[in-house]
Amino acid sequence: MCRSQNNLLIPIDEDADELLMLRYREGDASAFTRLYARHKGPLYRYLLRQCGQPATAEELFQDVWLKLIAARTGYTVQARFMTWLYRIAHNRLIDYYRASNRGLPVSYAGDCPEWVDVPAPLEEQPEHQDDRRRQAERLLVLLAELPEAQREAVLLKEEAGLSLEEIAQVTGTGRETVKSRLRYALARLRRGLGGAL
Amino acid sequence: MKNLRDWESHDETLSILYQATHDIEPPAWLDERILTAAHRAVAPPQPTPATPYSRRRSVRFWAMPVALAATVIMAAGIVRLARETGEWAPRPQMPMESPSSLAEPAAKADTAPAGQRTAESAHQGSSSATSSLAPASPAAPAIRMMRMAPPSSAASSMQEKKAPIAEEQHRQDILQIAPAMRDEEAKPERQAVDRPPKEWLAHIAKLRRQGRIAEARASLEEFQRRYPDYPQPIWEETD
Repeated sequence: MCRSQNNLLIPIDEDADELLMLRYREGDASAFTRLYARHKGPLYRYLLRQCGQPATAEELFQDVWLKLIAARTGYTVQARFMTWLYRIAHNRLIDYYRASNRGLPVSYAGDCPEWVDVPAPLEEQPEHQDDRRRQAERLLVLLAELPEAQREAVLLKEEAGLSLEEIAQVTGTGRETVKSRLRYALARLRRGLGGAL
Repeated sequence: MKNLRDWESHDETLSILYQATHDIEPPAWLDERILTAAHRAVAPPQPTPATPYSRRRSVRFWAMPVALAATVIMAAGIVRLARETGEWAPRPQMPMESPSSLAEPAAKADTAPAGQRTAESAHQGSSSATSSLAPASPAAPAIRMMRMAPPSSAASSMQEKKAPIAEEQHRQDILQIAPAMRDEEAKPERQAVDRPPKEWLAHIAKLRRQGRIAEARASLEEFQRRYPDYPQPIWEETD
């Protein structure tokens, strides 16, 4: 158990992310190694699928971890470690969007009209959709075609395993917004996979 | 996670399918870079090593003593070389001599074979020019003899062990030659002393006529010492 700043007791087992981060804050480098090994894959994929370019994803990935390292001394258990980590990643991603020529995608707007305007991907029914690997590849293609905010919600759910509330916390939106984004995203993905699921 | 169980916001089949795409990982070099940064961030500060005794510092430390030592060695070498070549040889203490008696040994020295002198001057280079400007002295033959020493001996005399030997040799050369020179000069005077007083005075008068006043005066003094009662000649004071 660990007491947060709000005097809330957060259950923490010996190998919990939060405890590892506290140990790293105290100077235990091996704790960071374990944390990194645990989260590097999901975080990298989240960034890669959000920006679409491996080189950019690598840069963002490094920035996120370096920010975490720099912020270690001020770390306190206020929420799950995952929420903190992906909050840093989300903010870095938003900075990246803003710095790019495209600017911040409109899908991040609370009342995003594209949710209804963006045409759904054409339903394709490839002859060999039964191949699971190919289905997964098709899923990634469909995922890449989603508006950024919807895609981010899916990734935070699938990669980081965050709840609706945690996704809302990370992305700085309301729970209902997250729920809507997920609902639209899943509907499009199902349609795109053509009922093969 | 209960919320995600909602069909609208969660699809188990889609989740399972998405799990199949989890084969992408960050590159190894990126892992290494981040882990290195993380480990460095919490590594205890390295104790600042004591400022190493840098090469530049040691050079600066030794520069002054070495320069001083080099100066002293060079100066000693130059002095020694100058002594050996006769540039700085002390002149033997000689009684006051007439120009003719001074010129005599130099003339004798000039009688050395021409080839020998040519070789000598070629060997000595500028130092011979310097010595030719110096007034002729009775020690000239001795000096010339020293100059005729092979260059290897002069060079080796730079070494501290051999230097005293060279100096000793130099001194002996002078001692051997100087008495001979003195004998040579004293010869006419000795002959005069052996003459009877009248002839001696005639010789003195001859010296005066020849303009060898100093010699005449010295000879006269000697004459007066020998023959104090002999009537002194009366000459005009020409000097």
